[in-house]
Amino acid sequence: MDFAARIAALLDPDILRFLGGGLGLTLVVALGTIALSLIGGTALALVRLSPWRPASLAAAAYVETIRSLPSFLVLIYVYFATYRARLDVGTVAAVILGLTVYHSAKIAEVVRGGIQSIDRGQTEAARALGLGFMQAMASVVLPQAYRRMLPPLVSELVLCIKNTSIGSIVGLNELLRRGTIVYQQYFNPIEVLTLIALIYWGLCFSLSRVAARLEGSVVQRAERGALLRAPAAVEL
Amino acid sequence: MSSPGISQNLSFLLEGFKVTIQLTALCTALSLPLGALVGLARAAPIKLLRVAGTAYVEFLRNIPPLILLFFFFFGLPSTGVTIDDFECGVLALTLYTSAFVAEIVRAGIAAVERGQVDAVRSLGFGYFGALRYVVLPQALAMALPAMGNVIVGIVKNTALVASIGVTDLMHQGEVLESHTFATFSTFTTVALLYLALIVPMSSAVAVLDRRRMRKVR
Amino acid sequence: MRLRMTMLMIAALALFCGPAFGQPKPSFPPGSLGDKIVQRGFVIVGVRYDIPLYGFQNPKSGQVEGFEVDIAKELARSLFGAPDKLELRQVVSRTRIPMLQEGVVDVVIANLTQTKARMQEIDFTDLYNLAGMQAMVADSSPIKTLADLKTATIAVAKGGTGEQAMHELYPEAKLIQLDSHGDSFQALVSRRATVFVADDTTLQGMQEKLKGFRVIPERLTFEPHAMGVAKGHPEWVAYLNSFITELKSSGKWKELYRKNVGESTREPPPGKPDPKWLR
Repeated sequence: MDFAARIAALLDPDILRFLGGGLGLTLVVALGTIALSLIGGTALALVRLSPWRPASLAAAAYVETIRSLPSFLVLIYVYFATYRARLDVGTVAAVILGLTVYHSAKIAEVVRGGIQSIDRGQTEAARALGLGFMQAMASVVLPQAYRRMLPPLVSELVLCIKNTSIGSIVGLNELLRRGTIVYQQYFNPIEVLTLIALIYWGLCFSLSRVAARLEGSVVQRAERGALLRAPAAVEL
Repeated sequence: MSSPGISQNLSFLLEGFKVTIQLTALCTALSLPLGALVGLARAAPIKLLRVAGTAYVEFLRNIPPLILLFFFFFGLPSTGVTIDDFECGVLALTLYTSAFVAEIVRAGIAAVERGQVDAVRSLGFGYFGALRYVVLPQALAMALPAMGNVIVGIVKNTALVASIGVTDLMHQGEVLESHTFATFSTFTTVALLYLALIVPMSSAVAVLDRRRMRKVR
Repeated sequence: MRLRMTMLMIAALALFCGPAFGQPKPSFPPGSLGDKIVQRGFVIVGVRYDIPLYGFQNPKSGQVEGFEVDIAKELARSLFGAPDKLELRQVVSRTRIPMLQEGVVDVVIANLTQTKARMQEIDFTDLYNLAGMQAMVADSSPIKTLADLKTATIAVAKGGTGEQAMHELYPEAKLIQLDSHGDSFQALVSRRATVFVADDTTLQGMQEKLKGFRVIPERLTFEPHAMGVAKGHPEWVAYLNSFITELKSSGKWKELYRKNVGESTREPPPGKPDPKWLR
């Protein structure tokens, strides 16, 4: 097939619609994962910071272990585990679950960093005023922490979107897998992969821009030091 | 679990572990200097270099590394250029990682106070002199823990090369699992091997990080 | 007038009650998998979405088509009287067995080869196709016979029988193991591999996609294809076996085979596999 034919096969509206469906699924999985991971990650962070030793250590162990594993491995593991646990959840839910296990560990670290960056004085003042640990967290610390955590959280969303592509390996019909189906049918891998790369880029780049803008308004730029104080979490 | 010859299976996985380490070492050795160069370009006084560097970084950081792998493995041959699967892995991961390294280097350079650079320039140091004696030493010191994270990231990303047939740890795990049906024992062993590689590195990063934070305050 | 009305009413009644009289609903012991399927009202079948001619999702239409998909539709018709009482789920080599074991699908009709190792994990029905493993090369390739495979670079899919066979038969050959048959064929197309080994059914499908490749006629192994069922459901296996027998004897098998694959001279396989076919 010559170049023109390969491009024409790609730009066929039915094919584009097919790929669009993949993009939709990618977004569903990514947003679902991040939403669940926010809940899971916050819970993990709170448990880790709580005064109850055994739970705190367990949470720490979980977070450190999952963070130190490839997301691909975590996904495959959880994917097979859903079958073993007899959860008839379908591929989409299984992938969301697998990615959530991974990302909630990552987000737990972000949340923990955010909480710890809030001046100790505030926590102590809140406790002095009679608020319990959870209450102090909920009404004083977390609201401020979340605002500070917004940039790294958006970065985590970007990472999550990239990680959905791994779902293609277990049969999730998201964007990359559909692209693979197309180029295995029409033998135009370069054209298809370039288009798909551009779509991912468009999505992730705009989100990164949002994160950068948030970083500008949230972190006091006056203190250069603030940039250094942010956790050295350059997520690959 | 039906795993005849556990030591056979383990050595099968260890062969993959060896490949993972080779891949990590090569990517680290290549992406650090490449990323550093691009990072310097982004901080350069010449606009063209800055723009090129930014385009490079912003493109590679915002695409899934799996696409790069597929591109070199499945896509490139149609132009007549066929690279060995291991080399595809090295190429893709190096490019991907170098974008992150570049960003760290750039941020490190930017964080060094302008005041220092101006002071040193007024003492007669040229652009490169200031760079060499003032900016870079501090930038690199600040970047060290972040570099540790980068290497951890490389190890994690090497798992993806299994999907282009490179016989790394993940690939060996998949093959072993399909032969023995011992899903959980296989993947747990694979996980332990990855942890053995990564946990020491991330602990070192955490230690360096704490030391750095103390210095900053 | 009255007569016509009466006749219309009788006709309407007949149409309404017809289906109830036409196909006797299969009955299974209560609580069994078969019963569960009947109660549910549709059957869930795992098929491939990536093997043209047998189980393939057309990217343009989004529809899944193929010989095995048509068999699944016939199964739905046999159970419920209508081919649309069917839910198709995509399976890949890696997920075929787990999906059965955990009840995500009722049956797998997906180019699944019956092997001794797999028989420990799941149950198999009678054969519905006898495939063979073959090697595909480029038209211009110097490889002429299977002996040439010893020094070739062979692409296979992970988790399939091809990979195991190549380990056993040609251990000195360089193996490229990729996630799917599609990927492995792509490796052959891009000339990374000189040989692509898979079931002849898969290879037929790939030849549909792209010209310029030929298959070495000599079979490497026999690949008896049967439907996969989770262990512990003998009533469901028995039903499927009678369904398969009916499919073959009624001529439907040949009809579907000719429609999807084209070969009109192919005969359906025997029910039970010859022991030497089982590895």
